[in-house]
Amino acid sequence: MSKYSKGGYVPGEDDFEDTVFHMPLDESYDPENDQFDDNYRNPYGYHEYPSDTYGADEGNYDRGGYDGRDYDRGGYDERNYNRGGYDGRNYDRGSYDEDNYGRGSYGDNNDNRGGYGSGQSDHYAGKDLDLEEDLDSEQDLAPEDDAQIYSGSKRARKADKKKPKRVKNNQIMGILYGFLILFFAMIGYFVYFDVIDSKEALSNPNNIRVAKLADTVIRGKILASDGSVLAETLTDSSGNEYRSYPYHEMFSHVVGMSKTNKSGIEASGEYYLLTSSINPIQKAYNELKGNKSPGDNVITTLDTNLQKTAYEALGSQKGVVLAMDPSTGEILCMVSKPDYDPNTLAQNYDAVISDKNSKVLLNQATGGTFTPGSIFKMITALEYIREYPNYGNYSYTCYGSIALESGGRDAVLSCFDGHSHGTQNLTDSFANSCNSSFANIGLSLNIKKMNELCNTMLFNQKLPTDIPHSQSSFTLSDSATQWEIGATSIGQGQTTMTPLHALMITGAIANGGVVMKPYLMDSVESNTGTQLEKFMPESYGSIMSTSEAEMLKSMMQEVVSRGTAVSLSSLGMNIAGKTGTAEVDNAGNNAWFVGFAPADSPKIAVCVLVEDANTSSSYTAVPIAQQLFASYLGR
Amino acid sequence: MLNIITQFSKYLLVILTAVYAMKCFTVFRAKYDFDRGSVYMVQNVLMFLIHFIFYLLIYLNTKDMKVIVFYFLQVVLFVCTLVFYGVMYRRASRLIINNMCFLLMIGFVELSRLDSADYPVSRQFMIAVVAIVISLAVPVIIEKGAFLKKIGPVYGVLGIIMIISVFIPGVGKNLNGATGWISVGPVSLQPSELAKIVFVFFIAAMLCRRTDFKYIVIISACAAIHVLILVAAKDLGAALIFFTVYVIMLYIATGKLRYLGLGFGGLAAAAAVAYRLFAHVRVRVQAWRYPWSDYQASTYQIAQSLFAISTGGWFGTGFYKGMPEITPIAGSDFIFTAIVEEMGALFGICLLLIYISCLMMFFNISLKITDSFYKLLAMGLSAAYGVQVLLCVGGVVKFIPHTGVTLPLISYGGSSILSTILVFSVIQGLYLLKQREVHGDVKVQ
Repeated sequence: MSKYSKGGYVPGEDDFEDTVFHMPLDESYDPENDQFDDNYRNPYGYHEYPSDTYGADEGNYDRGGYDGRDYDRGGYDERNYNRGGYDGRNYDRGSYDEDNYGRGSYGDNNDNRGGYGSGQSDHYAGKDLDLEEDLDSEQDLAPEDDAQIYSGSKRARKADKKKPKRVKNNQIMGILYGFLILFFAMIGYFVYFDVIDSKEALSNPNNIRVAKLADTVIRGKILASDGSVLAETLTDSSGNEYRSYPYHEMFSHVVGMSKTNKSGIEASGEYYLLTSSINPIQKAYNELKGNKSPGDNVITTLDTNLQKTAYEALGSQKGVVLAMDPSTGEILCMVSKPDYDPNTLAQNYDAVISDKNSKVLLNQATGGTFTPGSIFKMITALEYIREYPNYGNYSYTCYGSIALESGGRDAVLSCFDGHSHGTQNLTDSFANSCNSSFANIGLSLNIKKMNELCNTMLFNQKLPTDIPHSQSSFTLSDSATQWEIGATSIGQGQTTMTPLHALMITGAIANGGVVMKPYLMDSVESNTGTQLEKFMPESYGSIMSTSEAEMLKSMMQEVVSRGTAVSLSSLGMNIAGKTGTAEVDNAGNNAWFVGFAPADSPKIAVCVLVEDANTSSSYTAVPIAQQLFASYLGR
Repeated sequence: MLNIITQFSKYLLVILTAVYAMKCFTVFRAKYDFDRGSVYMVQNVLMFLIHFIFYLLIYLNTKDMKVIVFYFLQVVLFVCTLVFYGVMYRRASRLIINNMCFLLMIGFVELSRLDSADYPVSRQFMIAVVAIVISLAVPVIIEKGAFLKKIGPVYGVLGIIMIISVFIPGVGKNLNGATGWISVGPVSLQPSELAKIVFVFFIAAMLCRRTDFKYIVIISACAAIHVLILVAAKDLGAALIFFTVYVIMLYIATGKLRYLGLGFGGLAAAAAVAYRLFAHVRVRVQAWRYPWSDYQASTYQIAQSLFAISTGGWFGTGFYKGMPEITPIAGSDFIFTAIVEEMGALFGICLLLIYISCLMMFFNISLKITDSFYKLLAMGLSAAYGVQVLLCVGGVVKFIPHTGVTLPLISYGGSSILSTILVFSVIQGLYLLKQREVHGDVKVQ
């Protein structure tokens, strides 16, 4: 015994690892098998087996160059083994069919697994051990019916049938495969995240780590579409960096600030501004020298001239002036007042924030919510068109007001300044912004469908744009009184809207019902002017049908040709629009104008809102819109 | 100058770790013992080199003499571990020892980097010392302990006592929204970590006897009690590990695919029910699907994790150049994030490959063992280890919803590190058992 196991071949101590995933050798070997123990004690146990089996074995051995003599002499020494003369060759030649193989391994039972098993490991070690292939061969060699192949084991198993079924290795392999698939799927996802999704994370304004990039990068410039510099980093005489905003208040909200009041494009484009895409060798050199590299420049969609026109037209009034290209969603100008000078905000920041009600730091174009007033009639009219295909027959006679039930009493809803419009069809009512008629229309609408329409119109949800914004709100319950329904139909009531939202709906009407996602960043280029990224227009989808958009457009053209915005007709630009004068408790009116031109192929859509106006929108918002159209289309 | 060293070492460390990880797989191909031995030697050199570079950077950044002392203490610990295993267990798997030491090193390095009072690395080090000393005895117990497979019910009772202890007033305490902790005197324990090992012993001891249907129903009920207690303690990560481990062990013991299907089908159903019933489950799933939606509250953790990973990119910001301290739970659940932020995604992938290499070695041992009990034991521990790595890393890279489990051997946490070292040593014990069998010095009489 001792001579056999110790004096004969002793596999290397780590030999076991060598045959990763190769079970045949161990399958045939069972330490709890009495049979085996007997054989083990008797080096010549070999001969106890039926002669036919033995004969086959002997044949194999002979072929492999192991003659009986060698065997008897205990010739399984390491030298023989290392030459690998036995197994490797035979095995490779394929001369071991399944039967032979099985017996071969059976024989091994006697003369120590070393012979066969190590031969096999040699064989495997000799070629590239590709895991897949290796596992496959495992599967081949240890199939379900291994008992048949390893006749030795079969006997062993018969001997102790009471024991539970032996654990099958191919099931363990299955679990291992499962784990490996999950692990590599996870690594795959991790790589995918790093390649694709990490940009989104990096450009997220909440990611304060990006600011850390400023240690090695000089913040890039923000440019208007014509190349005018809206923000840049300069160095003062004592070598300190500071951010300069050459247009002072004019772009304050839309461009925002990099510090103090971090907002606008300075915040949303921070990742680009703080990424340097110069020559990597130069960059590495800068890094090692401790010098900063120049960051990339963000080119906005903003039109300097239009912004200037809008800024000056709004003058000292509070409010919002917005314009975009309705076919692409590019924002052309965005003015919000009150505003501040970003160059000096840091000095008087404490004074600014001490007034809790101050809107100086709020970009009202995107973050302010306002009662829409009569511009909401676009939506009421659309719902009426949908519910009543014979809307052409609509007629209502306006006496300057309408009596509506409110909590058991009658309340009166008046037209603007109590003007009585006389007999009005739908288009007349829209063009003249007749409140009584629209309240009357509202009473005939299905409230549930009205709510559905408003959800389609993007109320009560995030707008499809990357520009940070507030949500607009629309609520009208089934149990609403006549007064509530009437007021809501003319844009009073609980409804609030952001100017950006109003502009998007207007843009959709101009664009055949399709909303284009508004955006402010046109492209990113390196310090040397190489374009790195171009942001393309993206469509959100259609919120109304083309014919509905056409119908609304024709009604909006009537507003300009003979209605409340008739002063715009003098431009001769085929403008479509809608005015709105919303009454606000304890303040002046919200004077709105939304519209676009030219109506047959719109190039610009605008939204003007003047807060705290003394008169109707016809005298406050419409003239501002007129200057915008004249400036943009009259060039 | 420090900047140059940091930037240069960033690349050097990734390359060295990649070579180390590669060696974890190529060692299987080695033809002769001599080759394998040299591969292990290369691994040892690499791990000490990587460890040295990291601590050099830590010293250069902190200029703290204590760092040097601590570094040498660690070197002593790792050298002793390697030598003791080498002397006591000549045939121990050096791959497992090397990987265990390497991962521990990375854990110490990152905790030293974070240098946070929440994750005191000195405590972690002391627990590791104790755990390694205990682990040296484990293979002996495995070898001598024929009784281990005969006391199945004892494990069951012990395991349930351990996980139910968190509900005992005055002993259990609440941490990070889960009641998964107990404190006895000055010691805080997360009993589910250690109960995990006991649970695997329990299932292995029971299932190696019989696998008829009636018997399986009883065992399954016992396993379900474990899982339900963990669910009640809101320790969802541990509940998931216990459940998966049980299903896999049942499948291996019976060989019936339908149990596997039934188990994972049941898991999917349970997940759907939990999603409807428990707000904290919904919050986690929402945070996973829309990580940017509710930044201030529910998605803060995962959003911070993704910011950190994105900022790191492929090669990381460089050691001490990132902001791992603002990642929540950076020393424990989110330690992978903290490492990847400064060392880069490639370094993170190398770490995962090392984890995979360990897993393959564990499975390999499970394949080789013929005795049902030991085979199930190896299988269950391997599965628990694999699931834990998947849950932890998958959770922080947004592959799956975050469940709040620790990263074995790297994360801060005494119970976690003790239990993982014990798992490694039990597997080592099984490996040695098999090695003795193969080499014939097993007592056959």
